[in-house]
Amino acid sequence: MPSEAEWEVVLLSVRVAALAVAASLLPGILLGWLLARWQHPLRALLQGVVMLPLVLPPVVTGYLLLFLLGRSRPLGRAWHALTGGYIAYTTAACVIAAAVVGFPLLVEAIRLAVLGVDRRLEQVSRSLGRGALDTFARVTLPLSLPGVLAGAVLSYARALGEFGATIVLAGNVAGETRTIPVAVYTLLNVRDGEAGILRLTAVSVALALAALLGSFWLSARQRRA
Amino acid sequence: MRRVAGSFPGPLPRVRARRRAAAALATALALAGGAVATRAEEPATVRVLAAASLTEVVEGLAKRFEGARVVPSFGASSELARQIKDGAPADVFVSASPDWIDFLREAKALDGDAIVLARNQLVCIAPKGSALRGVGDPKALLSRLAKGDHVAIADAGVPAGEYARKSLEHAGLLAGYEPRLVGQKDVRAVLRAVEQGEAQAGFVYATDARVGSVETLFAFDPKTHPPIEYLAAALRGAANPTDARRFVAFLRSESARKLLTDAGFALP
Repeated sequence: MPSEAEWEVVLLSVRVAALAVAASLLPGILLGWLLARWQHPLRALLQGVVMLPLVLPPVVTGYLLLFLLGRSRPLGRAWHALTGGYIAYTTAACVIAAAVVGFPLLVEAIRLAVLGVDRRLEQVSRSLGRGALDTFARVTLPLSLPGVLAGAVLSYARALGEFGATIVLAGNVAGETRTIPVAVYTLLNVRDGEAGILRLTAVSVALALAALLGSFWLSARQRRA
Repeated sequence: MRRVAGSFPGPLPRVRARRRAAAALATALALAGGAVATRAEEPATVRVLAAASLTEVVEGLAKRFEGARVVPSFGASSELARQIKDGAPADVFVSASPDWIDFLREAKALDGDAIVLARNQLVCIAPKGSALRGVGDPKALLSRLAKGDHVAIADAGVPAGEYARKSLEHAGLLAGYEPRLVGQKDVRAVLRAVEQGEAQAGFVYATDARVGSVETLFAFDPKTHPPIEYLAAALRGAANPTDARRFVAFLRSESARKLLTDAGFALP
């Protein structure tokens, strides 16, 4: 059975991933819808920027984030003025890293789900006097909901496994930023760390598999819808 | 390859393009084969896996070593030792702590005895122009840290991190420090975190502090942690055992001693 310190690691990971998805959901829905419906030459560029964290080495993403949010940077200073704290090496940094890296998966799933919604249904709603926002909330969003959820689950799973950007932006602080992958990496350096690594690995596999199965199930529902 | 029906007068354009691609691939493979053949005639290589704190010294030694090409790679001694145990190609291991030499000896991965080549000192550093200047010991540092300040330390198991934790534990300060400590993968990562100002202090070796653009706040009392000793050994899995042993002996040569002392290491 995992030790108390290991449970702390697992709970932190689950909490960080959940916060990352929660923070991404609204902007993700907005961007997914925009990328599906907006017809403009700049759309491709926007999509490229959104997808970037999926293809960039996560360590590079982490470095870019640290470059943007570090103590001596304008954004870092603005954050300090607002909250009195700093971002780097805190749980907030963990959440930001996980959210940024998981974001493309969320947006892409939503974009595909919105593309699958029959536009005639939206037109019917508009012709019956509903506004654009109302139509989105009552027609488009409910019809693409399984896709939105599948994207959320997938980005949640990605956030759980986030290591590269996290280790750069959030480091390795016990109880604050030591998530499952960071803890496993730490244990690799410790003599007799194998037992702990195996326990955390088992938890990782279980969590990731559960998330993937959930996402598959939701995607299948989206296709049937 | 796909067969083309016999009744065509000649190969279809697509098939011709494929043949051309296949010919190009064959040429490339032949060239690559040639390159491998030439490499075998070059001088033999010695793969040296060394503690990150020795980066400059081992790079300097690699240039001076004669008769074989030295290919160094650097990291936490703990990480390197594990890689060697798991079968990474390596001829020589240089560790920043006897612990990881022992680990490999127990795994029967050493070829012969290990030698002690240098000693070092543990210090606390801060970014240039730090407000912490004047802090003289770990206790004073802890009391002077502001809200949100972090202290970079090498991860548990990494020698630089182990020495620092032992020293803090000896002073009864480890629990107080714990929420401030940001683990880093090796001592040079600690140095970088402090240089960039993301960590407000960090624990590195005296020799690292000389390499980076940082300020040294204080040195740890050497009586509070095990002696910091660098050990080297040839490895049983070495592809090139003769040059591996020769390189280990070279670490005690006059030219190695000069490089070490110039970099601030103490000799055993």
